[in-house]
Amino acid sequence: MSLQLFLASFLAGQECAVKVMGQVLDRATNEPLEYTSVAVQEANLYVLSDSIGRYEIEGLCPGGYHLQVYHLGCPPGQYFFTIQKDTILNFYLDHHSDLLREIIVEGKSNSFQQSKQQQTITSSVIMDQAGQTLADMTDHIAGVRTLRNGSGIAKPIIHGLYGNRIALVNNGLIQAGQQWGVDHAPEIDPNAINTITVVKGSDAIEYGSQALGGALLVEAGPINRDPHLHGRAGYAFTSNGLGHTLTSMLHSSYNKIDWRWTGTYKKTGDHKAPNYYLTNTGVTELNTSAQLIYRKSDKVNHQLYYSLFTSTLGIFAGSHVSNLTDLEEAIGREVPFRVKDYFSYSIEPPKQNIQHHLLKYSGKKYISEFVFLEWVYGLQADHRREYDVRRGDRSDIPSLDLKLWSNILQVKYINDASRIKYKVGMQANYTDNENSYDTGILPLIPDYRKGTAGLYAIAQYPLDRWVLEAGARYDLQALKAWPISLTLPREIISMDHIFHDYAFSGGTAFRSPSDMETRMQLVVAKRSPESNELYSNGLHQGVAGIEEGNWQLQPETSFKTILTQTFSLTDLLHIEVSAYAHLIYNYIYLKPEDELRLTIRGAFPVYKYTQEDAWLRGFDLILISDFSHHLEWNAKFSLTYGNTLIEHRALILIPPAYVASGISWAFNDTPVLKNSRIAIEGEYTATQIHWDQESELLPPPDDFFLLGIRLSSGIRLGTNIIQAGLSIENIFNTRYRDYLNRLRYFADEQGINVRFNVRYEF
Amino acid sequence: MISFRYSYILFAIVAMAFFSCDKDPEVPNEEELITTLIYTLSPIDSGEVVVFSFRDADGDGGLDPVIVQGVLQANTTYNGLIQLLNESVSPVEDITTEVEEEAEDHQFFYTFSDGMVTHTYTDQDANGKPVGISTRLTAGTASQGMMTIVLRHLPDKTASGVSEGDVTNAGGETDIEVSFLLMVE
Repeated sequence: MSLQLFLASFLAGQECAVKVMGQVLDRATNEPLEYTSVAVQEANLYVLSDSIGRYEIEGLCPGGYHLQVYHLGCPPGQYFFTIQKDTILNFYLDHHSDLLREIIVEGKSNSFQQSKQQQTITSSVIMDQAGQTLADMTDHIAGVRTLRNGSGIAKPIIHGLYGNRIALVNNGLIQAGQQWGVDHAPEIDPNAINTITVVKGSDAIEYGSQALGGALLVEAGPINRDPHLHGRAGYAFTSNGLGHTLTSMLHSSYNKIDWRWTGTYKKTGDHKAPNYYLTNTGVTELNTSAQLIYRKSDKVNHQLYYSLFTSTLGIFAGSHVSNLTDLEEAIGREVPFRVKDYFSYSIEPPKQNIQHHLLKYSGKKYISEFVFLEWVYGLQADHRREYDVRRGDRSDIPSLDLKLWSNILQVKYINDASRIKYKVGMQANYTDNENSYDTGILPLIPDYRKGTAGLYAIAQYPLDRWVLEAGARYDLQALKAWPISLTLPREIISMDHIFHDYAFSGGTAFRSPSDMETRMQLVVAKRSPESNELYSNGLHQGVAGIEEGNWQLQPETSFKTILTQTFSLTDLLHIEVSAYAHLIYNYIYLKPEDELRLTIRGAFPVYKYTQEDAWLRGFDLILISDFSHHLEWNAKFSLTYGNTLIEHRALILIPPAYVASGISWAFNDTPVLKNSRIAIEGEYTATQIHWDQESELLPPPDDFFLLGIRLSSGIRLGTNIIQAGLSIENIFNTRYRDYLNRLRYFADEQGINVRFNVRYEF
Repeated sequence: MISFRYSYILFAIVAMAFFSCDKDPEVPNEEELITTLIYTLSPIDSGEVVVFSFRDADGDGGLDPVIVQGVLQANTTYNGLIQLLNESVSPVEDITTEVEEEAEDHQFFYTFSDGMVTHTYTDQDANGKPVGISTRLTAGTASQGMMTIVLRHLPDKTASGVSEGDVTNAGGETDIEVSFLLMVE
């Protein structure tokens, strides 16, 4: 739930005659919400909103109050205000958030999002899914799927693109992890964040060429200015993997300082497919974050944010193959190699160990109410160690040991007050990637340093029912890499690259008198090859293939256009349909070479980074229907195609057609139980029929249908809330394999899972 | 405008950081790498020693491997001995000892074209299971075919047929898999 505040001064309030009034609106549709209860705890007062969502509370004394806003079917929210005089408070509730786990389109609160194609997941939804990975949480958004490497490693695919083409923006900073590999998951703790926004259109103007295919923005968000100590403590259990997750959050305000702290501990053991344990798929995570805001004055504030993410995760034992012969043996098996017939929490090699620190300082200065300057410095340190089964007691020595340092400086200036609104900014980024040489193995990607400096500007012109938007960006990129020669004697080679990247965008949004909304965006962007595309060299264990970089790669040029239409048929059915086409010249991809390479470990197929023109296109459809205050139905459908233009080779890992539908019932509140709800959701994933025989080792797996059910309720204890949920996923314990899981060659996906979560909010 | 003043500072910082110091990476010591397999067959009685070898000194990429193939005498019994080397380092490292030390976790498998030779293990690990560093081989009548030598790390030696030298159920990870043209005359 979010809230927008309009402070307006009416008459100066007399003693205990202060009035608070406003309107409660659905954030997605902007429609008023009637029968919303607005309660003032300290005064023991509560009122219900009327048919146009209005409420009014009279007779308050000036002072600090906790306000609780609550509507059937919406997660409850609590806010603290210091009220001195008559005040207007408008509340925006996420009425559609529970089952679909997303809201349709927001866009109104920030003028710079009008033509963007984005969807946001809010904190209550994130909390309900405690214990899941970040990518799992976005998996339910239309057009977004999840790329997996077993159970614990998951990353988002947006409109068929992932990895180097999707920017992960962690509290305004581009996440500087080793996120290029399919087996590298984002180093972000969902408990530490308040909102996840998926930008499906390109966001290359604001975040650079990494956001060419879209972006995932995660935000810790503002802190409630409440002088009392508030927070939450949660526990989540998953039956599959016997996972336990503890989450906690505390926040408070003191004078001009607001602070928040979060902590997460997660331990999961071996997951279980319907017929066997997925041995060595456990995860241990320990994460913390702290945020400090110093409000120097009404015009200036400073913010400090630190987060630490540490994780150890096992790679499924049965997926460890070392050449084509092994692979052929492993993929035909009924039960994979090396699975044990018992459950265990132990994590043995092959495994990964990741540590990610993020430190951010930012300052904001308001020149006037809608004009401000923001400056940010961010430092990230990422340490990734990957362990393999090795000979001679070397299993304790990492096979890959990478340290990455990233420095980011950003300045932006936003003017929201003028006729043409605009935002200008600059970013400078310096990254240093270093391998440890104690691994005894030639590194998969070499040491490198990368410096980027970029300038951008976005302007927006609101015109009656129209919004026109245009943006431009330029980046200078310097890359210095130190690959190791493939011939003897081994030598360090020093390579330099200079790239010029640019991006242009144009967009428009139109809202018709009947509240039909059309948004269109066209983005042209250039993306320079990353160091893994230029220099990676070595054997990719899980797929038994040798991957070779190509240092002659040129930047790719992308044209993405996306058209979204939102409308309602009567008051019952809300529809959002979105179509996109994405043409990429010099698309960089791994192309299978014709011949096998003979090594002492046998013969291997060779995949070489190559460039060829490619295009992706598809559409997403979302339907939502509120039959009554109790009953809601929703459905979504996504389809994506992708192939190269000349050879018509299907691109790998393009999500197959997907359709999901759910129905939920919100119960009437009782004096004890609030916000009780039951929801059932079914999802069907088709088999991928467009695939390239040379690029895939096996045909894509069969289609599958999964059914899940979720029950949730809240118990109010005085001013505190206990929120509990019980859900069952894959109810029928269906055996299936997912085309988007790299381990699909070796094992089934996990079977039935019962998830229970409870949290206490105070 | 305020922001332009910052731009110069930003670009200056980036430029300075980037060109100020050079990196001096080291080449890792690839002590675990196996570059060379030598299979030496010495006749039990008298006769010429036959040597098969697969040598890829620079590892997976770079230059192509060099393969040496020998000719066996018909109806002759040989003692076979495997030697593994890492020739990418100097001095050359003998990896065979590493395999011997972890004999329980390793096994060589030998496959031949049908009926060309009979082949038995002549060594054992601590559990009485074969390792395959030393073997005995008897060549049949004159023929031509293939010989494949596989080294598995962490095989399941108790699985069916594995102790008899059948790799089918062994599982584990392949450290070596090389094929030779085999001639018996």
